[in-house]
Amino acid sequence: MAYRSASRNLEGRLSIQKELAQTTYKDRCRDEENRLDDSLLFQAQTLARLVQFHVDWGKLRFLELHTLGLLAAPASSSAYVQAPIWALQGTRGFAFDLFRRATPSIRFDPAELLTRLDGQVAEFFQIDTAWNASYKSNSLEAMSMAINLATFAPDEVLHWEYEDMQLSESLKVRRVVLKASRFLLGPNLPSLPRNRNPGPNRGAEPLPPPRNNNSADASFRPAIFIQCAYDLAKRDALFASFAQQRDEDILNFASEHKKDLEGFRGMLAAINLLTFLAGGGICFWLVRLGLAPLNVLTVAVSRINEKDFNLDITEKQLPEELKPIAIRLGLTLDQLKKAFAREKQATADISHELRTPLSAMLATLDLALRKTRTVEEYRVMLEDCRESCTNMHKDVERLLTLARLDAGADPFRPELFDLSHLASDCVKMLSPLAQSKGVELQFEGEPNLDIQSDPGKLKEILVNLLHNAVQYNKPSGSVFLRLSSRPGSIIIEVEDNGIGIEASKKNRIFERFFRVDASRSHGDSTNCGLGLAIVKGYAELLGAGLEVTSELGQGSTFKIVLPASLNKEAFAASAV
Amino acid sequence: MKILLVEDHKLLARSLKQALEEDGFAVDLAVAGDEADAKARGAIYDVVILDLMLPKIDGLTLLKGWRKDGLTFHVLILTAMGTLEDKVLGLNLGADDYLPKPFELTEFLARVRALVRRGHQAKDPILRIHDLEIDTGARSVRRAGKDIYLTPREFSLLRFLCYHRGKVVTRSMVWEHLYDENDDNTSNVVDVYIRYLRNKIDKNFTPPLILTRWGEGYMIKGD
Repeated sequence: MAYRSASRNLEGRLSIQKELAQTTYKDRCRDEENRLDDSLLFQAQTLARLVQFHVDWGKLRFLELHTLGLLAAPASSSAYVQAPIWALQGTRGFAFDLFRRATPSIRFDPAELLTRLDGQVAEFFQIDTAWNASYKSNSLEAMSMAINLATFAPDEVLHWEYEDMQLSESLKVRRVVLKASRFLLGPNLPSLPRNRNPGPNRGAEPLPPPRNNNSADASFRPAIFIQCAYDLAKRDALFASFAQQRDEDILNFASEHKKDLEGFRGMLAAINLLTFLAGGGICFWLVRLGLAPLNVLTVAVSRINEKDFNLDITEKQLPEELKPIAIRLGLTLDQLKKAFAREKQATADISHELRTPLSAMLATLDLALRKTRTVEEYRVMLEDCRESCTNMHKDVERLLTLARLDAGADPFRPELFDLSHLASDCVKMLSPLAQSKGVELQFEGEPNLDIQSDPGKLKEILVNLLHNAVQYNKPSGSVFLRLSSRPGSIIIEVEDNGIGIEASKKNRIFERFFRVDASRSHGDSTNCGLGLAIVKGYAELLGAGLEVTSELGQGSTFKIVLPASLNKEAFAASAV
Repeated sequence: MKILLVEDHKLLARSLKQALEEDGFAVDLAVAGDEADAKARGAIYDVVILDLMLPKIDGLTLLKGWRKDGLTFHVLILTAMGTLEDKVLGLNLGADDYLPKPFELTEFLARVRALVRRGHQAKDPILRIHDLEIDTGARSVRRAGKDIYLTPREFSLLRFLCYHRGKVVTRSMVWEHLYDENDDNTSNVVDVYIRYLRNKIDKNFTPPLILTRWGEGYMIKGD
């Protein structure tokens, strides 16, 4: 667009320049023409001043014989104009008559003529008089320039006309025809005003009044007609040179215009390119600047591996917009780190729990096979192996139970059953262990407490809790299993007065493989720290609340709160 | 040759103890960290076999404490944690060998024997004194090309004497190294076993290899 408007401006400039050139050309032509005209006139005047009349008295006498002087006509090369001159000029009076009869011939002082007219424009000049005397420059040769006397009023003293005329077939000239009175000529000729715009009727200029303004002077005005002419071809050649100059100028302007236009186009292209490059550079820089924090984040994130979960980045390095992301990423990584640590710990725990009994079995079997042994020795070793196998089986089952819980593959299978019956079954199941430990195991609760829940899982919960309560008890301690029904819920409590749990470890007892004393020294290698994890998982599955209160050295109480919506009435209602 | 076995898994501990004893080693057993620490500091052991996951004090902490206090017995770590990092960590903390569970009993015993040899600057598993050859690996004894059958106790006494060849071995030293904590025999049981050994090794051969240093103890010839 800028290019279009600029090129329009340039076009405008070009056309103005063209017009200017044309005008200049015209002005120059006109000036030249004027100058030539002035020069012609000046020459004519000069000639008028220089003209000398030579009176040939003999001739005068001869002329007297030809009253009208018509006879002289054939003798004069300009005779054919002289007759009308006479007729039209119709000069009267005696002095004129005398003068006319004297028939002075025209002469010039050749030396003066040369000096005065040297370098002037006119190549041709011709002087005619009212009395038939005429003078022609040599250059005219046989040609002569006719005068249209009609353009000169008879009483005009000083008048001139310009005109172009065909001098010969091949020669066209411009001439000035100056009519001047003899007595106005000579050294006293008043300076002529310049006739800039000669027109057919505008040649007449107000002239200063003749000094002797009497009737005789007025009536006697012997007029001479001086014509100066130059070859129009020369002027035209000059004009042609002007035109050529003009055309050259126009051509220059056009080429200049074209060059300007090209320059402008180039400049526009350069500006465009520069702008594009600068824009591109700035964009690149801005984008880089904008993305720099992301780079920092990327580097920090790429440094994270399974051994190092720290997001090595300070908040100062990030703009406000990225801070929440970094913070959230940090939190997620923390969780991931913990999950990895748990996973690693779990793997280590599982491998330990399985590898230790496995290597015990292997060592026992290797030992048995090492040499021939007694039957009793073999029996003891095989029993040891069997025990180890049984323990491993329990561990594997527990691990699978937890894995199924994690995978959600262990569905809640509700059915209506008597909770009291189930609880007393569990107590019976653990009585032998309690007896061997010297622990008193008691069941307190209402009979016929029907409930809708998953009996298998509830049994697993109770057995685990009771087992722990008996296992981690003091000799001659006691364990109570209590059932109580409340509006909205059924509460199962397993209370012992055993060793209790440290407050700091209370929150961790439901973690997998967590052991309060990290010891198997209680003589039971079946416990690998998964029992309470299963209790917790099952309680969540049953929608039951799980609480634990404990005091170190005093005992612990585990409380299961089963939702009442699953009790008998609710089940009956849902069954209907 | 006395070994402290630190292992909290009852069956594994029992089997390993029996296997080591059948190989002629006296074995003391510890099932918890604190117990192991007390025993390691209270008696002289050639090798300590150490489980890492222990009640009370874990194995690596024990090891660090022992090495820090200048206890130089060889330690074989026996653990279920068998990753490269665990092995490197254990060895860097001053263990001499590392055996992840589960393992072959024969490998376990070979490693224990290797540690015992290392303790006595012996590379050759066959101890040679004059025309007596004791293969510690195969647990076999020959003199002048004739196989001699020895009971584990006799074998471990001979091996002990041979590891200390040219030096006087006192009765209490023998008792210390060859009898575990549960043996309530007095030191004169050593004299009894020396007599058994002489009957089998020196009786029908010349020269006699087992010498008596009156008032000090016994010695086996140095060459």
